[in-house]
Order: sequence, then C-alpha cells, then structure tokens
Amino acid sequence: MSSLLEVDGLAVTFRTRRGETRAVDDFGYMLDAGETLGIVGESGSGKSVAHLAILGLLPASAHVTARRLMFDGHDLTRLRGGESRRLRGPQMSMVFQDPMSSLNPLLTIGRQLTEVLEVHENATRRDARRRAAAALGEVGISDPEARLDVYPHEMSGGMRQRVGIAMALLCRPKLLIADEPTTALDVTIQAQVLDLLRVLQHEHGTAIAFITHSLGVVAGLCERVLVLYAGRVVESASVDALFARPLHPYTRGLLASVPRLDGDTSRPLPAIAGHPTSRAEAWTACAFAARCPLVEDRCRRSVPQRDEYVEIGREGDGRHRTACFRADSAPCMEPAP
Amino acid sequence: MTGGDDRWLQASPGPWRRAWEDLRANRPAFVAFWFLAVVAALSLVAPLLPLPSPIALKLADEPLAPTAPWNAFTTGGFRPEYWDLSALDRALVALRQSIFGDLQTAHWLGTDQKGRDLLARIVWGSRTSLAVGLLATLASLVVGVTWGAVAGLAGGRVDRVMMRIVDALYSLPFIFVVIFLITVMDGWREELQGTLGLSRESLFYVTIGLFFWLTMARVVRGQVLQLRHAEFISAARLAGARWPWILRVHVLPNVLGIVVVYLTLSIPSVLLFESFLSFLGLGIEPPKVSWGLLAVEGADAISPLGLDWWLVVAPAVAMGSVLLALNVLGDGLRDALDPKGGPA
Repeated sequence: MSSLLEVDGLAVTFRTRRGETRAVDDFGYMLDAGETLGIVGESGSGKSVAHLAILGLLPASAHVTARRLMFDGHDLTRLRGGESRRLRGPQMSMVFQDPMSSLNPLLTIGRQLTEVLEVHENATRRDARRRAAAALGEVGISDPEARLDVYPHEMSGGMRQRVGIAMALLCRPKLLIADEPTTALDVTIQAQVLDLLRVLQHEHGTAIAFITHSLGVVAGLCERVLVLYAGRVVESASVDALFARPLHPYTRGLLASVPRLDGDTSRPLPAIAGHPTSRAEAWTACAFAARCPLVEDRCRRSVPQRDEYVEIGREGDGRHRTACFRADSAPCMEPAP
Repeated sequence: MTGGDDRWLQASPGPWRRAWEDLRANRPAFVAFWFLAVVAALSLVAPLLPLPSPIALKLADEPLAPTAPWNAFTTGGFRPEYWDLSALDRALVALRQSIFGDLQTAHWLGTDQKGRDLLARIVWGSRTSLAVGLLATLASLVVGVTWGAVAGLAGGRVDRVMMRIVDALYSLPFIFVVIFLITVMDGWREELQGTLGLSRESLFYVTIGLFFWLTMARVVRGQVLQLRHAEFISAARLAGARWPWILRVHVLPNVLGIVVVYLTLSIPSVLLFESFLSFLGLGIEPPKVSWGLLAVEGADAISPLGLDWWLVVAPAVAMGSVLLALNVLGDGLRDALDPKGGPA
C-alpha cells in the first residue's frame, strides 16, 4: 500500500539579490493515513518552509523542486490552479502557529469557519452555519451556536487556536499539517490542544505532520520523528528508538539539553555550542560539523548520506536512519545490512 | 452556561461598530464629524436655501459690513441670477422660489465691493470645495486603493512595474504640471471647448484626479505587503480561495481603516490646492465662486481707502474651520480604528 503523503528530495531555494539561499535540501518522508509524525529542529531549520512548499503556499521568490511529491495518488508537482485548489483545504489542511494572526480580525468566527465551505462547496448559509457550529462543538467550545457571531478579539488564545483547529478539520482532511500549534500557548492550554488533536485524529483517522521544537510534545503525541538541521533531515526514527538511542550528535545534544525533573537540577543545562551554520557551507560538508563534538576530517570534506542502522541483537523496530559518519560510534548500533 | 456569559456574547459589537462608538466617545472628533456633515449638507442643498443670489450686483451701494441681527430676512428684491447651472440645480432654484418666494436672508455676513451677498458666496463657493474633495476621495478610493492592493498582493515584477509608474508620476512637479497644462490649454480654449467639451474647469478636475491617488496607492501597498504574510491569508489560500476573493474578503477590509484616516488627513491639502490655483487665477473662473476666489477678493479689499475686514475674515474662517474639522476628525478616526484601542 502506498503512503498518504510521499515526499522525496524536496529542495527549496530562495532567490534573493545576494544570490540563492537553500532553505531546505533533500527533504523527505512518508506519512501513512492516521499516523502522526513529529518534525523537530531549531528555528530556521526549514521545518515550516518545507511544509509550506508541500502545500504550495510559498511566495514566488521560492523555487521548489522535488523528486517525488505525492499526496493520496496525486502528483502535487503536476497540479495546476483549480485541481490543487480542490485538493488543498478539503483534503490537506494546516493549523497555524499564531492564533492571533491566523484569524482575520474583521470576520466573525462563523464567517471565518465557513470560508472553506463557501469557496468549495455550494453549501447553503444555514447548512454551513450548522456544520461550523458542529465543528466548534467538536473542539470543545461551549455554546458553539452563539460563538459563531463572536469576533476573534473576544476570544482567548487557546479558544482561537481551537477555532483554528476546527477550521482546519471542517472538511475532514486526510492530512493535517500542524505548524507549532502550541508554541504560542501556555502549558495547560498546550496540553488541552494536544489532547484534542489526539482525540480528533483517533476519531477521523487524520494523518498529522506535527512541526515543533518541543521534544516533550513529540514524545507524547507522535509515533515517528524527523530531526531537521540546516534544511536537511539528519535523523529519522520511531519515537521510542530516537529517545532511547539517538544516533546523530545533534539529536543527542538536543536531548541532553532538555531539562529533566529527575536529573541533577543544580548544574546548568548542557547546550549545543555555536550557532546554526549559514547554508552556503552546508553544500560540501556536514552542516553540523562546526558544532559537532565528534567531528572528523571526512565530516568537513563530504556530505554524509542517510544510512539505516539497527540495534545489535534486536529486530529493527522501524527504520532508524541518520546522516552521520560517526553514527556507529553510538554504542550497540551497527549499519543495517 | 451562566447568564452573565450570555450577556457578554450578545453584547459583542463588530470592529466597525466599536470604532463608531469610540469616535462618539471622542467629543472633539464627534463634533468635527457633525460639523462637516452639516457643511456638506448645506453646500449640497445650497440652491434650495433662502439665500440671495451669489452674483447679483448692486454696484451703487458701498460694501456692507456684517450687521446684527443675524436672523433677519427680507422679502422682495430676490434676483435669481446664477451662472450656467446644471439642470438639477436649476430645478432646485425653481423649487426654492416656489417655497420661499422672494424671501431671502439679509446680508448676515455683509456684502462685497460689488454689492454681492457674502454668505451666499461662501455657501455656493463651498460646493467647489466639496466637488474637489469628493473627486480626490473618489480617485484615491477607486484608483489608489485598487492599484496599491493589487501591486502589494501580486508582488514581484508586477509590483515593481506598478510602483515605478507611481514613482514616475510622483516625480513630476505637480503644481508646475497643472499650471503648465492649464496655461497651455488656455491657448486652445475654443477648440477644446468645441470639439471635446472640455472646459478649463474640467481640465482642472482631471489633473487633480490624475495625481491625487498616488500617495494612497503607496500607503495601501505598504499595508498589503504587511498583510500578505498574515496567517489568515495563507489559511484562505489553503482553503482554496482565489485572489479576487482574498482581496475582497481579507485584504480590503483590513486596510480600510487606514484608508479612511488617510483620506480625512489628505483632503485638506487638495482643498488648499484648489484655493491656491483659484487664487492664482488658474482654477475656478468668475462668475463662479470658490473659497480661493473669495480669498483673492478679500485680499483686494485691503486697501488704503478702507479695510473691509469681513471680506477676508469670513472666507478664511469658513475654510479654516473645515480644515480644522477634517484634521480633528482624522485624528479621532485614527484612534477609533486602531485595533489596539488607543488611549482609553
């Protein structure tokens, strides 16, 4: 069976006056129906750009290429105008990061929610309202009928994010891309929103690509994880495998810098030294070489490929891949046959 | 659900409603708003008002200073003399005669050196200002807003070309171009009038319309550039909305606030410009009146023989109060339409 979303060799280049900047390079993953994939990486690592490219929302200054970009049997690279409009929105949809700016301040929640219906389906106003109210009820907003006539500024951040989720799920999409939907929210609301996503996914079988820089969220919500660094996937594995045996030095650094309640709280948290590299050097060497504690000569000379590894003495629990020459320095791992 | 919550839900005014309420709470701006409304109404219905003719001469009389009581009417002696009025205005004047007959205001603001009633001249002159103001508004709204919004949304090459056109028009020294055009056109007056029906006045209006949308286009483009990356626009695109829909539903309503504010703050400059050109003798021509022409006549009235001060003061007060009201209203609108609420 083929996956719902297949991305391979996705590259995004921005043309600016000072030359080209490659924001995403050789990005790819597969996502099955009903699956949740976490995509982590620091700010500017290309998480959002890659997904905006998949959705076709990047500005004209971005040049997008992909070896393969398939969604539910449709080749997204070949779709034009009307076809892609029919697919986006109803079939693939997105929850945005900032609930303050993802709602038009001048439209009522009801108008906002039914926009997708107005654009796509010639639903009657009453029918659209009914569906919008049902969607609001589904994301746990009380008295949804009355809230339809409320303006965004009258809602709290958490409520607005719920509206954003209701909006994204209104047409029962097969794929939901959640771009840091909890980053702008405080912790308790975060937990509620995550619960909500989990429940809705369970009910509708939506596949979720969850973009975040919180490893805690990934651990709680996702089945598989992709770690991005400087526009490239440096490691991909099941959540269990990644947290138990991170292979890439960057992933190890990330995990080490997560505060733990059971750890030694008197010492400062370890941090990854240095800053993310500028993209230009990332062409000929491992992008992480400048900050890597395990760096060797070959890391600076050539770009490591993503290879598959399995744990010694264990059947592979899904594919654990990483792009690092030193991955075998991790204990008890060996390259897959 | 508690009762209190219900009330909160019902009392949820839309953003425009809230702006209106904020404006109402702002006393000076609200007064300015009604003052402008009254001025506009008076100038619209000028032919209906029981005013003396603005151009009927009484050359034998000395200029008359404004004299109390300012509520006196005279009957008899109304001479329905006007310039070439439009059919509508002629009908209105006829209606005025059938309602008021010969009744007309006494010379509340005095008369000028040719014995014409100053109040009538100011009220009729306000129609020129209104026309110029409306024209500038229309050009700004229709051409300027569309131009700026399309350029901002399209981005890239389209944006660059459209904005370079604006830059090029901007770089023409506006006043000189107008003066030059009008002076040159004066040479072919008869021909223009005959073949194209283009009078100097319409040429004057055309030039104002041609130039006045430029700043609005820039203002709107700047706003749209900011808005373009708002997540709700991405959401709308993702929902499958086409560009015209996004423009109409998401972009234009969100720039409307700044457009309104900018309009109220920029209309004074076009009113002043009309006065300036008329003052130079390049705008409105006698026997028509405009506030600029009244200012010229006022200036002429200052002579060693006697100071007919009211001929200077009355038009200046009329113009000044309208400009002040527009500025106060613009300020008030800026506060009222500020989504962050402005000073409480």
